[in-house]
Amino acid sequence: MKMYTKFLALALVLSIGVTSCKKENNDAIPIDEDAAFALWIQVGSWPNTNYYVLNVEDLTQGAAKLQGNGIDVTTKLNNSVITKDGFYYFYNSAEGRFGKYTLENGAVKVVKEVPLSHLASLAGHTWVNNNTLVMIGNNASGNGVNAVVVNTDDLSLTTGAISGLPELVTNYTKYLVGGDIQYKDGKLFFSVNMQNTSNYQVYPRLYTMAVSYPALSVTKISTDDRSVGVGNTSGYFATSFVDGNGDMYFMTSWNLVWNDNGTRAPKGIYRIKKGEDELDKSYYINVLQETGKEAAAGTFMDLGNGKAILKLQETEGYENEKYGYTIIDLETGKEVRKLTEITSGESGERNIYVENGKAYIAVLTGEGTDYIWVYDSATDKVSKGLSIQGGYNSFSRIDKLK
Amino acid sequence: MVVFVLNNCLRIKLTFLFFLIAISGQAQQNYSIMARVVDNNNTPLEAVTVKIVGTPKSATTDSNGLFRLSVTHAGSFTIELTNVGFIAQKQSILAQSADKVDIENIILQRDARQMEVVEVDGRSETRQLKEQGFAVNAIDTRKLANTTADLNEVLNRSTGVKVRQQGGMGSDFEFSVNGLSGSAVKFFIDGVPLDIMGSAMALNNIPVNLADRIEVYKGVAPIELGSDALGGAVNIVTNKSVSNYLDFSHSYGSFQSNQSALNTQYVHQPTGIVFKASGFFNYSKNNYMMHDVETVEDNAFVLRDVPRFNDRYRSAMGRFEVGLVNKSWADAFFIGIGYTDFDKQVQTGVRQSIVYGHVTRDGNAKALNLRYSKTGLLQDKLDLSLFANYAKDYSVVADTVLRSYRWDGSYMEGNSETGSFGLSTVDRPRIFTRANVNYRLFENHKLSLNYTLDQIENNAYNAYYMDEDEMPGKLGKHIVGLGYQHELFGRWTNTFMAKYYGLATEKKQYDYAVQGMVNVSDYNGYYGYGIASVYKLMSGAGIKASYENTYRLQDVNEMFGDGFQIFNNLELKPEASQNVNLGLFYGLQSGKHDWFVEALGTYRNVKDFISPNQYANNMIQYQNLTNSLVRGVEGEVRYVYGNWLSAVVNLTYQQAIDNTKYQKNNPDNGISSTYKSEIPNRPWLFGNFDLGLSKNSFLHQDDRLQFNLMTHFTQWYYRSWANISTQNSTEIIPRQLIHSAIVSYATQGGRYNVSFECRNLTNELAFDNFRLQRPGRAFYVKLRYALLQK
Repeated sequence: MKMYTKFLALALVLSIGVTSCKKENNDAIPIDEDAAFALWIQVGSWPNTNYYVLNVEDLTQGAAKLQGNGIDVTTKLNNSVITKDGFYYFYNSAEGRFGKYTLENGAVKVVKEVPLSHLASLAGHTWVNNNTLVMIGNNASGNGVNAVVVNTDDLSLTTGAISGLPELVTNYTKYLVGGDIQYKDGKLFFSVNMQNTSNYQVYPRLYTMAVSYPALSVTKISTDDRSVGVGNTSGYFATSFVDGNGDMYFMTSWNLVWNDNGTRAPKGIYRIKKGEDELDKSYYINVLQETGKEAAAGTFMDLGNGKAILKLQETEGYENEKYGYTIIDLETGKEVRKLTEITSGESGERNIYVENGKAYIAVLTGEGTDYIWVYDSATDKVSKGLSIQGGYNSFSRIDKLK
Repeated sequence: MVVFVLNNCLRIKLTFLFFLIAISGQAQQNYSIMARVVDNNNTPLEAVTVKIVGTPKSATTDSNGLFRLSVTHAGSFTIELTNVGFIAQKQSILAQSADKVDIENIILQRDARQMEVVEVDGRSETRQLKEQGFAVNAIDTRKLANTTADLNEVLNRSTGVKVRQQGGMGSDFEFSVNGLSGSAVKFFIDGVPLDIMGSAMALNNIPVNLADRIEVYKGVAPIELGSDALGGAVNIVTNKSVSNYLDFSHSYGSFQSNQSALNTQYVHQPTGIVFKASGFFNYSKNNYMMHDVETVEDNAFVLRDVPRFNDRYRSAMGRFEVGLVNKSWADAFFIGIGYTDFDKQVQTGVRQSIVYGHVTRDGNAKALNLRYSKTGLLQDKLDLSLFANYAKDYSVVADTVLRSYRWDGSYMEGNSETGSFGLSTVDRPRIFTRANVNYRLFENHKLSLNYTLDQIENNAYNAYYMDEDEMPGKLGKHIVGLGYQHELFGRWTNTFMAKYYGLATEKKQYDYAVQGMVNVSDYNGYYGYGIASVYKLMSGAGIKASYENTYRLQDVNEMFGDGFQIFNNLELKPEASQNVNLGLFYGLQSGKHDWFVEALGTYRNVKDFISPNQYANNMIQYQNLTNSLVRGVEGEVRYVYGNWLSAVVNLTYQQAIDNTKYQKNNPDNGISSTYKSEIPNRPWLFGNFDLGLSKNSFLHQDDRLQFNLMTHFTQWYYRSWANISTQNSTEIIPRQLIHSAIVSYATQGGRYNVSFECRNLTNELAFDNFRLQRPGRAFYVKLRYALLQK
């Protein structure tokens, strides 16, 4: 009897011992309420990958640490959010929900959510004015393109479909639509490709359209056979812009098989000039030919000063995980120079923020401490900015909150 | 056509096996067990069934009450005696050499209190298992035959096991043993994989009545269960007695739940022909109330309490076997057929905010099998058992409307509900064969050999668009296990194990170079090993330890991808784990008090978990990306007083650490920020308390009233990495404490049974994975007819 009493006591002590060493929460660390920037960081090993947002005041200097400071956004948002004026907008297609959110007191706060299931997924978005957001995406069966116009003040929605799309070619049953959409000269501009849904091959022609707004009907189609692949999803990526001159630029970047021998389409940059409804036929940048490197999935951003920053793969092929950065002169279509000062490393989808001719680039070095690198197009200089204690999966986005 | 490696060595082994069968008639049996069975008045009892526990061997007494059973070796055997109107009885008996005649009397008690005896013999059988070197939970399910529980609910009450079920009857579940789950845990029925009988055959729908016992091997599994079980193995043991029985039950309860189970056997004693049949039928609307879920009113989300509306579940299983027992050439030879069928609606995605209104999953499977066993070959030194099964398993997920549903059942036109529009179909022909050979070298030294061939063809296609899988994958697993067990000083038993895992894979793929489909194939071999050891300090008390270096083999799709969006990875390694268990047990019986205490420490060091690596270009490749380290302690105390009180309390603590030092296991990527952090979204402390009270001769001489109260406790746990998030954004899955109560009444010695059950007595809000809500308070009534012996 004595023996098992001891045994029982031992088991009890053990269980109390192991349970008491667990705290119900981590130490509270004050949140920087005045944070100007949000750095999205993906952490953890599958299936426990989570998105955390780290608020930082200054990207150009200082040090930051994610531990205890990451706002866990995993169950409410993902990094395909749209941001403007300190708000996040997120279309959750699985739950049929569109919402407006802020980050407050170290957590995601829902401003408003409304039912929405009109887009298969968010493919592209653009702002018509400060409070009018246009989002496009496939319809449910993929044989059409739908649009949603959002009044971002009250989240009232107007849904519609794009009429007058180019007719689907035989055996190609699905439109591909992406993040190349821009609002220019009172119209929407974006491209479609056509895909065979059984072998995923894409028809080797790019169809770029001018679409009336708010009527949403195609008014002009121009085609090009040098590349296919509409821009990457504009929530996650950034592949198009209208520059200070009113010219629109976009990059094809979907890496699609476009002929029977299995080769994939080259990635190219196109232009539609201010006042024009069609592609500028004289303008085409084959990224690989121009830079010697394959363009990485969808990060092509306007720096101002007639320059753009473009993310490149360090190696060709599709298993590449290291990236470099280059500067493109938009007018000439020529590479200015590669930013070789930046340590080559991994990065997430939208790891660059551009403002006032400067690019802020978050790079994973794999060396314990990672940095925001700052490129100033005025001085053509690269400097090391904010340092972040490392060990993450990726820096997925950088957003300006105020 | 896949050409699987069948090497010369294997051919020799098979030839050897057939040779053994051929010469079996010549085998000599030198020992026997004999006794006379009498009643209290010393009157010989005729037709008493006497069975050697753990074997199919049995005999019946003659008109003088005498029986005789040939056995393979000297030593002590446990026999079980059963007869109508008598208390079933178990006892040890010594085998005697054939020429020696020393007949003892065994007195069988004439009594109607069969229910009590079921408990007594159950205790001894499961306890025998617990006193082995393996870390094992052995659960006597016969004691639970009057409950409406399925096997998941039974196992969830045992140490080290956590079943996270997503909803009501038939819902998906994650079964974890000492922190490892998913494909790391393998399930068996009588030593063969459960899923060879079809995907409807799962722990979430098998009624408790079909099983005699369940064994959960933790981390280290005996080689007889030839499998790549990385984290553990669950073996359901069915009734093996050579006697007639009939067990039929039906229960009805909340949410329109109906469950029927049939388990019967008829033995024609003169010829030794045996007919066995078992089956079940389950149905439930699962329309339990969901609390505070979102519906839409005036184009805005509001929170309401609404019942589930797309969660009906139905499943059925039938198995029939016919065979011969106790022949000179076979202890048992059976041929069997089986059919399973299920049909379920699917209410939610991984989170309950993803609502489905029209998604269904259904399927069926047909199986044909043969089994053969013979003990006492080669001068009583060799036992042999063979099993072969051919099955065809078919299942389809139907997602054929373009709608976005809300919890009130309303919908908007939208996208396909799951994101995979159509009829996602899986067609899976499978051949499974297994041979187990035991050879007694000399007293207390035993060799075991196991060979398993498991060959699956995986056809996955969307039947909405196509008729067949143009790129089927084939997988052949050859697992060879060799074990050696010896007993030293009468109290120290060691089992040494070595395993070979051979993996043959083949897949059709589109090759752009030749503009057509080509076969790609590969063969890989891996070696595992282990030891299980137990040292008996005294009667009923001991210390045990076990270790295994084990694998979970790669899947075809993980290796070859799909040729479009998933790259192949021929360098992919299996998931590997070093598993260690260290345990103590102590049992004491004094007077009416019966105590059993056990404690176990577990250690699992898992490397190379296979997970998808996403490249920026929408391409995926399966790689060995992560490692984890799981340490745990668990303990259980059982107490029984006489035949009216029983109590069990257990507690399990598990600490799972992310052991992935470098991001994606690549030193170039630097040290991971979650290295050495506790892995979120998994329960780390849980326990159970069961209390049973019973009263014999409640209204009549031969009846019994029983009351059970069961409590399950799960401590709160983090939804995501706790060391990283801000306090305000850290999500916690709250603590849960669920009570259930059962009252059952049995009369005529357990032949007629009725029970009333209330689950989730306090109507606690219960949830599981990602806060999916589980049913609230529910009531069930169960009627059962059990003719245990004829």
